[in-house]
Amino acid sequence: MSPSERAALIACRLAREISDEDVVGVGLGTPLALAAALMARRSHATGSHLLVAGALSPDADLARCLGGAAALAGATAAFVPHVLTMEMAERRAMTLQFLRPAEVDGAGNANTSRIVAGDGSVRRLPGGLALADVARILPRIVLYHTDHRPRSLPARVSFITSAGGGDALAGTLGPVRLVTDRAVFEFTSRGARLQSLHPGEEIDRLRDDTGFTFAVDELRVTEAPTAAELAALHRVDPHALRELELRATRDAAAGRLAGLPASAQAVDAGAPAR
Amino acid sequence: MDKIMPASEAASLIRDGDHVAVQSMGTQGIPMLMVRELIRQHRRELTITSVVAGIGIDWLSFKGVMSRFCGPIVSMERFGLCQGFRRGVQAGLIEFEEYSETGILARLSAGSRNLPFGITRGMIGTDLPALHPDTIAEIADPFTGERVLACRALRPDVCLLHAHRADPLGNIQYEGGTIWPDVQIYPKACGKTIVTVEEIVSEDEVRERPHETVIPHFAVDAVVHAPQGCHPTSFFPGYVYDEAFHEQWVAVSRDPAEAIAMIDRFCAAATQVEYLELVGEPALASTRNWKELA
Repeated sequence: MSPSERAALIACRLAREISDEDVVGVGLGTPLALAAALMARRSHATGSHLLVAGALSPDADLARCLGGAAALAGATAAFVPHVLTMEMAERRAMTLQFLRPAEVDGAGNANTSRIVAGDGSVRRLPGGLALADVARILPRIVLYHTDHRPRSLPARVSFITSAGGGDALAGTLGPVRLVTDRAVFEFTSRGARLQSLHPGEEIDRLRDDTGFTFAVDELRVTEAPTAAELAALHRVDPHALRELELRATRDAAAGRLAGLPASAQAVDAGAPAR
Repeated sequence: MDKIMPASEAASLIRDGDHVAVQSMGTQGIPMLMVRELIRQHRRELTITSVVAGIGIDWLSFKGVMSRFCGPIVSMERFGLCQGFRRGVQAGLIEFEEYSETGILARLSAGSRNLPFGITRGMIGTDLPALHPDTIAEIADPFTGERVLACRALRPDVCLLHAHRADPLGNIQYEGGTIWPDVQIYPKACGKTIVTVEEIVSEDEVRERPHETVIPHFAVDAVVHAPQGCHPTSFFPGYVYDEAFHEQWVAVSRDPAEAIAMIDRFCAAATQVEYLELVGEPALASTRNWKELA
């Protein structure tokens, strides 16, 4: 699979996590998750709701959403103040978030704080924002990662920014699934279990490239995106800006975004109306 | 009392060593005129609190203004990590007092209500609480026994905000209310409030739209006129973030010398008018439009 195909597969796989009952919260730093949430609303989960940069379920493509609130006036019926979004999460009125940490281990612990290298040096990461909160509070958290290798998926994260321990069957809190660019894992009370391998992946190589151990009950292949899914994805993300999140495609995607012509419609009609 | 003053005078309300809460949501709503003024005046040893710190905090990091960051994340969203902040922390020059989002909001909210602490269900089971024995403690809900975290009240010395308009008295208005968490919490939790605004209007004009006054004059210490004052970040609904400026920053901030040269070039502007001239009208115009819609 090419990096572009992997990005499309991740977006479609994440979208399949969304159902009509979901209220999904997404930030501007995770275009793959945003593509998934926008696409789900245009395909199998038209009843789901999305909160992005405060905007409630905007009728906008990914490019416009990436402009943030100021680009979304006219495309949404409501801006939800950020504090209220956080309160929605706290009372579980938000049901699902997709999070992409730097490290994830087999217990579902995630790290976006700091990584200690073999020589003892510390690499500072951005921090987790609400990661430590929502992983403990929301009904469902799905983690994803775009660079599946031992360093990203260690036996134990070097710092626990958000706690694992999730088990969808047992109903315990914590991330229930991990979607990478090569496979899908489920977290259970007994640790990680392989749910499916992406097309073209081999189990032995995947084991070598995964730092944590995982159980394999049955070898399944991740269902490739259907034509209908790809069409919905193309409608919400015609410029494939979801690829901003993969190292191999980031610069090209940023170039495409920068090259998009400015809207004929101004963000705001100049001075504040009054 | 007329509270309108130049940025240089407003910055004198901030002392070395102060804890300053700065409005910031990644690429959105950072009062950059005041950020540049703190750099121009060589403030030192500041502790900064933001909800999502972005390019402004990166500039304060590179220029040695900030020695501690107290909050949940430092990130320019899709533009990635703040390299000055990362280098500062890794070199031991900056301390990152890291909380989750509900953790820092609980601390500020308790501060704003004069309560001893706020509570959260977040952070439990992570490595974060152990970093903060003085401000985070696990307690039992007295009614159910559920374990929750007590988050000690936080009252920063000063806050820096940006708004749509103010009158000379210091009544601060946001067009259509405000979606920013900072604006709703900081003025109540902080000792002093400094607000930069897109537009200065008369008290009469403010009275025509009293429902848009978010911060009343008695809670405001200084008003600074700063049209397009959040550039290169966005300010809803007037302008989006400057994409090319952020990309340029991502490129140069890999090299500290280049990064500092860029910061110094823009901080050389003594006023907002000079700054906007440096940025140039084509770049500013680009932030008043976003992409052609698909």
